[in-house]
Amino acid sequence: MHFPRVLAPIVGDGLHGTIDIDDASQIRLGLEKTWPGIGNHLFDSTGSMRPHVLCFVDDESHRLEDPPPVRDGSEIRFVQAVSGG
Amino acid sequence: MISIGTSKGGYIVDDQFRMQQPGLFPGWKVTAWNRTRSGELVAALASNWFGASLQRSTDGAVWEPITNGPAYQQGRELNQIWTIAGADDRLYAGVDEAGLFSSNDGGHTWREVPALNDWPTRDDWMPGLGGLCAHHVLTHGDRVVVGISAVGMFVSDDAGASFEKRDIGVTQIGGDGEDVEAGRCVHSIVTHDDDPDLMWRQDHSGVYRTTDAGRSWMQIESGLPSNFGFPIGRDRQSGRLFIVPMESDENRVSAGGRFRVYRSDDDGDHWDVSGTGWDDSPAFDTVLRNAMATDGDGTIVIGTTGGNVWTTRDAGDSWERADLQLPRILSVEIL
Repeated sequence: MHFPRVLAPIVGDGLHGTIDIDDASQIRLGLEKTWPGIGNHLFDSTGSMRPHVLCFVDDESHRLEDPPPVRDGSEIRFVQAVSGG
Repeated sequence: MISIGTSKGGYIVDDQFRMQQPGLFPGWKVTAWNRTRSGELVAALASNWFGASLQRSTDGAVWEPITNGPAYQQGRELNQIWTIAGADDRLYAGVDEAGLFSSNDGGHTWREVPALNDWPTRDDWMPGLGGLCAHHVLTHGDRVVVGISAVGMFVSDDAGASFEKRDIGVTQIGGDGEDVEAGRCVHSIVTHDDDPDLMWRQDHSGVYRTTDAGRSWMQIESGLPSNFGFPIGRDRQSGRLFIVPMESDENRVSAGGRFRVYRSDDDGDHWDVSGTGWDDSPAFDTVLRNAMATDGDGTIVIGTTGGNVWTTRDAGDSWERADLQLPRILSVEIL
């Protein structure tokens, strides 16, 4: 998992880490378990990704509404969109 | 220490305005500060991209997220935490979308206050320019006072178990002339430290005082160049009140093109320019509602939208501008 620098107060200065999950449906659970509170910053109260947050799963854009195609070692990158501010 | 929240991070300075912690939380708006009874600092962060949350620190240098902070269940978004109030283990957070959260453990875990968040007319509430936000929370024993824009003022005398809306005498903003319960656009509230029924209010529609805990309000604007502004503060020791008039609702710059704080020495019966030290050059700076802080002992610190910091140490007899130039200032606290 890779995070933009602005999220350092939430995830730490390393800005990346690993989650250990059984399948792609557990991504959000894995995020929250590893970085408590991160979910509120990536997803809104309906569970959708925040509108100006981008997510790339192995370089493919994904909104995480459905479990994305992941494999062992997949890289998921959250990006602050140019829009939004 | 003085904590200054800006649109681009947080800044902590000492009482001589020497920088102690520059640029905390890069990329975040820092919208509120508090110090809990245990001495822990709490800061509120907000982002147009990533929402809002709280951080805590024991020294102001190393911060960590509060992971069980204010959060709505499905249906409302937590866009910003406008204020963190309370002096003991019980804290309150006023937020956008408008609502109130409380914590009984010094800010580590939070829950909604349903008596306010489920108010019967909640669906009719409308935002002001700054959003639909609970921006002021004042406490005194079991009394909790909440100011919400553009809705009005709510008072609880049972620690938030129930509330009354108290805006009688305050001019309604907007609408089609029909009197509605919401539509009172309170900008800032301050209470007398020893008499919590005595309160003052900078409202969208003017400056007001109540002597009966908000059950009735009267306008108090004698001497003011304009009745529009955002913050209102009170120095406990001198009893003086302070506001910063803007030109008008439509033109939110310094009244008369000169930056001045106005002061009242008589509970708001009359207002005049506060003391000396003001710059005579044209200025169009303004002050947001949570960017005025008092220590109760004569020191007042004001941060402006232009990133200037003004202070008095003698309850407004003289003012000076600190040697700082910060981003747009959203919040100031003396902690």
